[in-house]
Amino acid sequence: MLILIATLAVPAVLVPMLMVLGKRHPSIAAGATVASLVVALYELPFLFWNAPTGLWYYPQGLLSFDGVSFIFSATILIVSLMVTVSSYGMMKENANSPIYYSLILFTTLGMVLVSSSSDLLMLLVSWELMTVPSFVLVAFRRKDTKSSEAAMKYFLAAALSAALILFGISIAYGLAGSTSFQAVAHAFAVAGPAEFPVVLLASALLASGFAVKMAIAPFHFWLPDALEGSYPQIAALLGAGSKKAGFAAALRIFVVLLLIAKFSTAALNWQIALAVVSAVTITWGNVAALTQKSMSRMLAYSSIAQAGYMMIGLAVQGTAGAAFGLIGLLLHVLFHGVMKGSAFISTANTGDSVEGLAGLYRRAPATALGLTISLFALAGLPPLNGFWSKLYLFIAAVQASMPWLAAVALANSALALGYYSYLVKKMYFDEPTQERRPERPEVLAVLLFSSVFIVATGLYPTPIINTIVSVLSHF
Amino acid sequence: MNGLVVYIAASTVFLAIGVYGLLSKRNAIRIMFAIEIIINAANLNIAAFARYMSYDLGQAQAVATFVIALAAAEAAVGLAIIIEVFRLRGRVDVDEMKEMKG
Repeated sequence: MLILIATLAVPAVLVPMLMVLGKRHPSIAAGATVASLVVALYELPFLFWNAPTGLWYYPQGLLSFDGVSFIFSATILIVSLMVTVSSYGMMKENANSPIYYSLILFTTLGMVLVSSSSDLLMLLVSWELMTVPSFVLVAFRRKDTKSSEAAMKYFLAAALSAALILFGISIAYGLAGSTSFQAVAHAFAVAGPAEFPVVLLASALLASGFAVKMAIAPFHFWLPDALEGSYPQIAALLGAGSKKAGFAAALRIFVVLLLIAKFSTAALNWQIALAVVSAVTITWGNVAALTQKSMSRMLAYSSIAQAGYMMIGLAVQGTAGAAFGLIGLLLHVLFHGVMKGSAFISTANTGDSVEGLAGLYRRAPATALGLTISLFALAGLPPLNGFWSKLYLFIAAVQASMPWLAAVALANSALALGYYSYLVKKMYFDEPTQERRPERPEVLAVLLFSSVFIVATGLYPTPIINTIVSVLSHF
Repeated sequence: MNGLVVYIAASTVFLAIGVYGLLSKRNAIRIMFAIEIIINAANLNIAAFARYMSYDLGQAQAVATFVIALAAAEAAVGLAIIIEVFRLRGRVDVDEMKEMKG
């Protein structure tokens, strides 16, 4: 674990020094960042398989790298890699580019640590390491009123979420007398009826704090604004990457902790509550996406809807659908990270307006193809990978005897397919309204990777599913 | 045990003040203050629990110190963003932030 932290933290500290030396070589900064992310990705399997039981506490229970951390860390590192590579051309002329790359590394490190924390204090520190650099990344477009407005809304929402999490932590600490997950789980398990309201209050505060980051309705208000105002690459990092860290934290705390604590027996049907929230989030996100005029706003609302799909995986925990739900959740985290990341990144080539997509096939054929594949994967069309993760989640909802949830999710998939098809129709059949612009090659490289990934894992998902199943058996 | 009740009651009042400030104030600096009040209420909780439930005081002090440092780091970056907004607009009123809608 220490090697993984050093792989990301040392370049993050050293890259800005390229500026101090007066050598503003953006390619060195970008190269160092890409190298550090690739090495970190390479280290993950060794880190996981070398742990004798899969549950590995280090040091004194602050971090544990288990199956869930493995999948989340891999997703986060892949998304960060896509973001870094596609930023190269945009940042080449910017004198502050080493700072930009360093902030990406810091926020990536924060996300990786959130997904492997096993202590509430460690979780809080990693949470701040993830959010504070990303405020600056959203505000990176200086002298731009949209960018600073987006950063301010994002800052206020994220600061509120951190404050709620902290208050929840303080109550959990009061019950347990320690901040480690195990101690808190034990305290929640032995809590009597008199302490039950306190347990509920701590859980509710933690859940709403995480929900702000996960952009679950009704806590999603900040996401479209924050993503519209920032660079497309940063929108990809937030919309595809850091939302997943919120899910990692929720999964670690609620599934691990509350299932150990037998929370389900405690006269509260929290599965139904989560299922309702999930259905509302899916519907709200998809309906709001229908009327958007801006690509990044539409994709942001669609990512809210996808977060609702992932919530199904949380809502079925503790029921008959738990195993399928967890597999589907982790599959969807990995697949959605790649497809949403590539959809956001492709707007760097297409421009932000939905109307401007008209005739994209003629002026930028490669981008149009990559965007089409990502959009159909988001809709969950069969030969592409989004189909498999949604299938697992729907089966889990049915197994958990919540067929209405599967029906709502399926109806929303049809709705989503409708507005994605509208975009695709605009790209391929409408007359171009804009001049032909050169396509950025680094964006095309990222789109090539994501398209190959989406099609390959869609046609042959068995290795990924097998990996997730074997990784979870260690969980 | 009585002393603990007083502290928890105080921190609950602070939480309520913070939530009220979040919902009713429109100036970004005031909203930030409301969030800081919630953070400090949580810190008061941690200190009171550690003292009156005779938990490990060393761990409680470490947690409280970390929380103070994190709140300061967050406030520093947040104020920088607010200053940037002020330079561009001359005001930091969140009701006026309507450039992006939908």
